Amino acid sequence: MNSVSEKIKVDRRDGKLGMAHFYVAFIALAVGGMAGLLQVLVRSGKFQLPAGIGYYQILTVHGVVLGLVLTTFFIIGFQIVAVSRTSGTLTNKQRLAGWTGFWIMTAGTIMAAVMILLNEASVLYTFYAPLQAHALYYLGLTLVIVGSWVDGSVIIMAYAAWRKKNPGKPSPLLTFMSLVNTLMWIIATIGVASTVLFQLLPWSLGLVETVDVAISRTLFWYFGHPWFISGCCQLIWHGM
Amino acid sequence: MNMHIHKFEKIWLIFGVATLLVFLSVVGVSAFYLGNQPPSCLATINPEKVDTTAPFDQPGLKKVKGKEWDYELVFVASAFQYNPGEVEVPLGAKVKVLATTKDVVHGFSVAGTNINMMLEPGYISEFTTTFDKTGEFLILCNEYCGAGHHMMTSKIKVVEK
Ligand code: HEM
Ligand SMILES: [Cu+2]
Repeated sequence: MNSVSEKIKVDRRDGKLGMAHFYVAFIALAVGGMAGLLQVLVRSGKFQLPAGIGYYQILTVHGVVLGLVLTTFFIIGFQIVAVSRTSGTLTNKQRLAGWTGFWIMTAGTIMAAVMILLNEASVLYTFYAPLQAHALYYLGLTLVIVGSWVDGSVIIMAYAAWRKKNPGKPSPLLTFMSLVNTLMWIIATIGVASTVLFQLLPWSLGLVETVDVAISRTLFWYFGHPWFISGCCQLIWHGM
Repeated sequence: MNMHIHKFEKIWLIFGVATLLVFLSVVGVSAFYLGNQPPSCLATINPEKVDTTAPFDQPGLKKVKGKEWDYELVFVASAFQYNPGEVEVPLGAKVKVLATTKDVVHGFSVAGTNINMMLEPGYISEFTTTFDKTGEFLILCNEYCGAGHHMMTSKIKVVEK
């Protein structure tokens, strides 16, 4: 019989990288859950938000931290651990890329969160133009996405390294699933990244006068649909 | 390469691809054969000149002649109101609803009916319907538009004349 330590063979350093992602995800869950609870209380009509905090400010917090932050951090953290577990310990270079991605995403999350808390970005997580948020909100969300790409490169590099070492063999299922999911994520996020970078950010900085709202929303949902779908699949196979 | 695909995997893949084809065909037939389109479809307007562009310079109900519908009901949305704020429509009238927005994205959902459109700046949303029940129908904004979003309403009163 295998002992527990033999069964769970994730390198400590990789585990730490994965856990860092989970910590942010759990903090997001706690914050978002609190916001959700406040929404329900406000809606019940028996409670008013103190200190001039707006309902939609809370709702923006809820949507961003649960919809965007929790899901992204959790999935990436899970995949890093899954790949390390099934394809072997990450190299130092891969782990460094992982930490770099993690900190870029975290910095972006904090920037977006601060702007929401300052009531400079009560535009909900969908941020449909021409509702306008502070430029730092868009920049923060961009960093979350760019960070997730850097993080995703870990999965791609680890898969490529495994392929090279094991020619002709089928790759471990969890690694393969993580790879495919990472590729889907990258394809999907190109949409939201392009509307934020090329339309909303220049517009919020005053560099351009107007944005094409139909294109912006189309690009957002080009990201949104696959993200919802992959989110659902993730929940199912994480459950397994 | 010896690629072995398990029987169940094959069935699963065929099922997946088949569903994809079926659903895409349904959308294609609906759009290109039946001519269905979203409420805002290619009709555009300068959002800064809504107030001076016909028919939005005169919001409200208007009788029209020589068209497939009897009336045109014109709405202009802006944060956080609709113009008109209340309107009467005769029972049984075939009405084309035309709506647009002067500022951000708004919704236009008429409770208890199947009218539900998104109003986007620069686009005209249209829906043709027959009001065949009397009563008051609440119009609600169901796209977040800012701090006063939840207070943005209007009303259609369907009356016997
Ligand atoms: C802790 C339990 C939760 C409660 C009590 C809660 C409550 C709510 C409520 C009341 C709304 C509707 C707000 C409105 O339209 O006025 C809402 C919206 C939403 N919730 Fe939750 N929720 C919870 C958990 C979650 C989780 C776990 C997720 C995602 C993984 C999530 C994602 C969302 C999203 C994306 C919206 C739409 C936000 C928007 O319209 O901007 N919620 N939630
Ligand atoms: Cu609204």
